[in-house]
Amino acid sequence: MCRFAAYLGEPVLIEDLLFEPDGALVRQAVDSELMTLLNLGGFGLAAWDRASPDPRRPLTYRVPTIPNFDRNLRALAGKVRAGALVAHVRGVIYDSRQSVGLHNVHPFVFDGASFALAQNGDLYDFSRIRYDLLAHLDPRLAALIEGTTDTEWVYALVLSQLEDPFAPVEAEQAALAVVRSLEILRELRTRRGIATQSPVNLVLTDGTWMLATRYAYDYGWYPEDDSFFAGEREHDFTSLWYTVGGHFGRRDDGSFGMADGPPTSAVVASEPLTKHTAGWLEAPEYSMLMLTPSAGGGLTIETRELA
Amino acid sequence: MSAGARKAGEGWGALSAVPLFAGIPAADLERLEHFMARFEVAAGERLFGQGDDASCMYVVESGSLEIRAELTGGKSKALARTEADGLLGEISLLVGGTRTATAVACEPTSGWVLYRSGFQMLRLDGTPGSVELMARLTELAVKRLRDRYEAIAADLVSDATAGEEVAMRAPTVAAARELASAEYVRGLLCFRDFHDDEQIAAALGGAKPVELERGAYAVEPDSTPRDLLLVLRGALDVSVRKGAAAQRVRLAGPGRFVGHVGVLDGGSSPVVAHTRERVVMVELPGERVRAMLRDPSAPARRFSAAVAEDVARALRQAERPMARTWAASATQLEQRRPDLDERQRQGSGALMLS
Repeated sequence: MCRFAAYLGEPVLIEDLLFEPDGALVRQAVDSELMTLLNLGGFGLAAWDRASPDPRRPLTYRVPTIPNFDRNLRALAGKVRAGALVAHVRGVIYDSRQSVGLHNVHPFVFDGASFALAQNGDLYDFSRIRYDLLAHLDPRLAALIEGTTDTEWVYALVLSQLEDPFAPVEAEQAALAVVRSLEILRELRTRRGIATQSPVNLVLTDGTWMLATRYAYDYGWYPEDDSFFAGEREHDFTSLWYTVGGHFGRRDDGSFGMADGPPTSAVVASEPLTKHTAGWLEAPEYSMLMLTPSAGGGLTIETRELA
Repeated sequence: MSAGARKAGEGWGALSAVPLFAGIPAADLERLEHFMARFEVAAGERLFGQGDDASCMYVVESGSLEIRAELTGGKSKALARTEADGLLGEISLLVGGTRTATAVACEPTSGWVLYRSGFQMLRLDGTPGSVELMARLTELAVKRLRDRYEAIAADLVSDATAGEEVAMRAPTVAAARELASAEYVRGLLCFRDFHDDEQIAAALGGAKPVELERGAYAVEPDSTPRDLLLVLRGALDVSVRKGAAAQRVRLAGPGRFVGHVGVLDGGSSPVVAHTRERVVMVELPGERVRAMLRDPSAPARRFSAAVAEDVARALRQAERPMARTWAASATQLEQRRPDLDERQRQGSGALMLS
């Protein structure tokens, strides 16, 4: 399982999300608070800068290695500001059967698609429903899948629920596509008799809106094998946190957090980016956060229950 | 915060003046004193902050503190005030975790710190005083949990669009393949401190697992639960309801109990519980659970400690800062669209935080 951090709001220096806070995403690759697995399977980010040429197209950076020793990323993060970002460290079970490589690094951004998607989750026995999904995929999207992760298939599935997967999409349409995709996955799992706990925490953004789910199928039905997830009990409903305020950055006392003010910026992450968690809110289980620009220039945040 | 010197007898003397500890034998309180220290905070100084590790309880001897919740954007909200002879953080004696609020001294304030490690050591000794103290702490935690649930209910605004239909269905005896193996049960959160399967069996008293399908009531509205439910597989969604409005206060997965409030205090349940996933659980008769609270036998003490820890976890879950939700199945999203359009027209898409 993985960790992600996503941001939407006033332009922020990327290192203020990835490196500087005491619980920053890059630190979570090897020192996560709310899970025991190390996230060694690669790092990726997609970042949007409204002042850049072709602002709807994100800057992307993906490597199949851990980010902690990546000087290029460190240097880049200290110079680039983003008004939206989704970054991800990939956690995979320590097993040589796992496929670790650039093709499996999140977030996924298909050529021509208007939003990126990353996941902190794991669909148990995914190989048994992988090809059932083809019936629900736009063939143009199925052809773009390069890797072996469930996430890339879920990304293609969500895009396939849209009228035109290669056109700009409103948050409301994307939310509907996510809900339909979750329903399709549940039907396919039921058909195949898969009833083992499978978290599906997704984060999607096109740089102007953001959606994030905290969701699981068959929560509480642990695998009956000796896998990592069979023994993971304490943090067993995969977490999702967020904080909202005027600006995320270093405060006068040196700590990181949201500045007071109208809601113009939000950080959504698998776990807080700061060890001190005051000011962070936990997203409810079985919910979807929806962040959209409001008419007054700030952000509107809704939390929706998922069936 | 500064720590002052301690004279022998001062610590337990302070404890015995607090109702929670009244009547507990002096020998037990004297042993706790080894795990106590003085504290002093100046006016405006923080005793502890929201998010700090919670590993001790505070007994306030003089002065007063304001309890504040830190919100997003650097804001905070006053919740309560603790005066002399008051307690702070007593739930920390039952379970670890982090502080759910910040305590700031309103004036020069001093008192005693009691660390959980000391309390746990006393509890393991199983003296009559420690059994009684543990039972009182459990009852106090249950009272806090009821108060918290009632406060949430008071804040709920009835909303015709919220809530979902839940059916009452009779539980069935779980199929043989679903019966939890001894190894599986041993791995559950609530049985981590049990030494052997016999102790677990003694605590469960031969209760049989039952199964409920997804979307059925396990605790009905306005009911007085007779049994404490222990989830073995799946999850119960515990929520406070007011009219059609609802707020989830806990998702109880494997190894968690449901029905503490009602079973342990004999009142009606302030919450309802329905199966979020298909559930296999055991029903433990309330009368037996209540009797075990003050039963000094080893299995009963371990079981009562597991229940107490779970009450504390439920309280922490109910206190976590969390947004309310509204339903969003694909059909409901389609139906909801006109509402959204209306809200956007009115410009009322404000931040929806609770």
